[in-house]
Amino acid sequence: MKRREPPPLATWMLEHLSSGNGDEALAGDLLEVFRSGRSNRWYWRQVCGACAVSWFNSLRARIPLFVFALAWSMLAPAWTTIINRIETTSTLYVYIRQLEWPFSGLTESLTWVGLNVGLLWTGILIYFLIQLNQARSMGRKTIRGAFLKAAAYFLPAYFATFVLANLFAYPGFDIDRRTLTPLTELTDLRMWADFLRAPYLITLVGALWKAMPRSRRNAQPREAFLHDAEDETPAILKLDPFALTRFFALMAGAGLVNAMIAGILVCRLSDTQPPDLGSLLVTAATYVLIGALAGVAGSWIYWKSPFSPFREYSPLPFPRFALVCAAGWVWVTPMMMLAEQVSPVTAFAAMIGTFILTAGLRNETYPAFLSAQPVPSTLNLGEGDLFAESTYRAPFEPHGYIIAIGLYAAVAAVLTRSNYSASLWLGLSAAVFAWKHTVPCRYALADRQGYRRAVLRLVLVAIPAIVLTAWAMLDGIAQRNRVAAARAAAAALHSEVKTVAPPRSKASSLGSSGYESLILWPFPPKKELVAPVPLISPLLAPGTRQPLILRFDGSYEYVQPPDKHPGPTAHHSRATPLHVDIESNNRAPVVMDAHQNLAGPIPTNRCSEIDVVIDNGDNREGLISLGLLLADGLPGHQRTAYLGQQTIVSTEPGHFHEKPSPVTEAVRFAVPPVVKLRNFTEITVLVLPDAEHMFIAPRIAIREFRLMPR
Amino acid sequence: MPDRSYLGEFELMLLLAVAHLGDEAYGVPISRELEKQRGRDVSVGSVYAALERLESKGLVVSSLGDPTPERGGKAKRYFRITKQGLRQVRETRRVLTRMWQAIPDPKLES
Repeated sequence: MKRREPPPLATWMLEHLSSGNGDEALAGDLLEVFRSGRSNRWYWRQVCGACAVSWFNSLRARIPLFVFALAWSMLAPAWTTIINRIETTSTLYVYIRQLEWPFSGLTESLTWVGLNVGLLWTGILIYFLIQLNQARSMGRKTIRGAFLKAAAYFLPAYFATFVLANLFAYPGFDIDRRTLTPLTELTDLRMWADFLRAPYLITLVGALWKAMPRSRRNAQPREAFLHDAEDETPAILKLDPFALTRFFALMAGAGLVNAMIAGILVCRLSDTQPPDLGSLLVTAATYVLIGALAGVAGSWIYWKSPFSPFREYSPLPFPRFALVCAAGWVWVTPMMMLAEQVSPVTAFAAMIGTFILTAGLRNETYPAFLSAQPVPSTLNLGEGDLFAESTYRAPFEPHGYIIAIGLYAAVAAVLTRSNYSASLWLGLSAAVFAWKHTVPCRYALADRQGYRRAVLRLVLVAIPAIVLTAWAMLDGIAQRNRVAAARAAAAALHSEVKTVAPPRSKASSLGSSGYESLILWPFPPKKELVAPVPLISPLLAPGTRQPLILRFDGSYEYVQPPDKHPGPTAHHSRATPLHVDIESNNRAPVVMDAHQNLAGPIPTNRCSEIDVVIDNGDNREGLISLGLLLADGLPGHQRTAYLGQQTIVSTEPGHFHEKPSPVTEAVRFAVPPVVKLRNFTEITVLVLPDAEHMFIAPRIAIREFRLMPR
Repeated sequence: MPDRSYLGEFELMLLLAVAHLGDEAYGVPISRELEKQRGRDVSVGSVYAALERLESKGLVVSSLGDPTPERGGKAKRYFRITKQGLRQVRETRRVLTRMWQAIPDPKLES
């Protein structure tokens, strides 16, 4: 007997045209009833009814989505106006347009798409925040999918709307965009503004269409359904200890990152003069408080997010968690301030903060871990006893290795002045050590008692953190003054005012080891056998265009402020700066100059420009500039002219790269037509580095000078 | 906070049908039960839509059974009333009974 089949078109409609890609159970039910003797007409009626009902329900369930998408897309014309302004006024776009084709066009297009998608993503984020309760049941994949779909749908939707708009009002709407303002565009209901809103509306609805609560997807297998219907165990108790650890680490980490951001943005050294003790301590306390509050805020955002398992069933009240973690976050501010000064104490502040945070967290959360059930492994249920002796393996405890590796790495990082890396490694070691070796209370303290203890702990910990912050501020101010003095000393070399620097004591200048100052001389050049050439400077010849090239054979001088010149005990050596590291062995920076004495005077007004050709072999990132000083050293003259400073292009952020061999670069200095200096007999190149090169002189050598005739 | 909203007529019928059918409550018998009691055709799609609404309110829960050949390899979706659903049914009955009792018999006769 042949089995009856329903109309295939109706079945296809049921599977593909009903909202939600059809329902297997519904299709099965209809088939079952149809085969029990119902007619084709009944089947068609049922299918059409099912499609209509499913679409009606689907659209009704998405009314908030439509309302939100409509409201958010109202912002589109205003946002377009803002983007237009950014395109015309932003220096970013000027930079982008200077790039080579096709990079300029590609980058400009991507920036435009990024700005538009940014508005959509902001909208999606706000939608999820508004619908927090529903978002919780959606799942991370759905939410992530919404963001990705928005990025994917926008461009096709925009293009389709653009084509339609041009078909509707060819050759386009007559709009003077220069007269538009974002505020007026919010309420602009003209056709062209609506066409601008359309792609945003379509994209938002399309991206958020699937972002619905998972009611139907919760259907379980029959067996589980029969037994687990009454299971109302809080979600937190279903978490295994690993998941609990992960969530606590995420919360504490979020606060830590936020506290660091606040430290970078807010905490600044007050002024150049050391403030009085009272204001210093108040400022330090304020900064520490800001760090702690920023940490609490960062953690709160994740704690209360729709994906957080702590949102409803929390093993620890958030205020108590915040108080415990704040004892660690208060150390972030001094850490950031010390890091700015490249101080090795940074790593120790990080270690102390992390240890306190982790130990406190371990203590407070231990009862939660006791109640969390480990996930049972299906592989060893009821097995293993028989061969327990023979298959016993020593427990693998990686934390010891992690602590040891962290310590070694931290020491290595401190030695190489990588304070952030050292902080990271030392913090990791401290966290692992504290987590594994803190002996926690096995019972949860009563609310009031727990809070009292957390507050007391926070206060006790905050006091040394404030003191350390104050010390960091004082140290920072002192270091800034030293750096300013070094810059002033470098700049004062060209000053006409001759001041005699107070001599430093030998003990303070020499430090523990090393030289008071240092002079490097180039290696003596090999003698060349060349035909005799007329020894006249073409620069002096009227009408010449040939530059005068002077090979550098002078000395490099390294001094430390307040000295301006090498002292009588300066160490002399033959080397090129390209191959040696001249490093400060104390807290004073190193100042580097290159001096070239000329055989005879050169008239200054015959030079239009001077190119300083250098070999740059420095592989440490950081901007370095050169200053050029001309001097007339003839007896009775003693005048100088400073030609300003120019940046070495190969050290600029966009051009810096690791150099296997030195790169040659010419740094040009313009000679003003009117200079007080008639002739010059000395050329001095001042190397003006940034903070990265303050304590280690840059590996830059002068190759030659090219004097361009006027 | 307890949900004080009352059930609609169709929802109440569905809940009663599900409670009546017990472990055998899936789309076909539920629809047949409604057809039998109401005396007219029921759209299976409407039944599922209403059941899903009840499920989202937590008044019923559903589970998937095994696929069978007579259903084209499609699984049955079984429904079961929850404690909250039962409470809601009882509450609705109590309210309706009290209102019915408040109406004098002659009015009902006319």
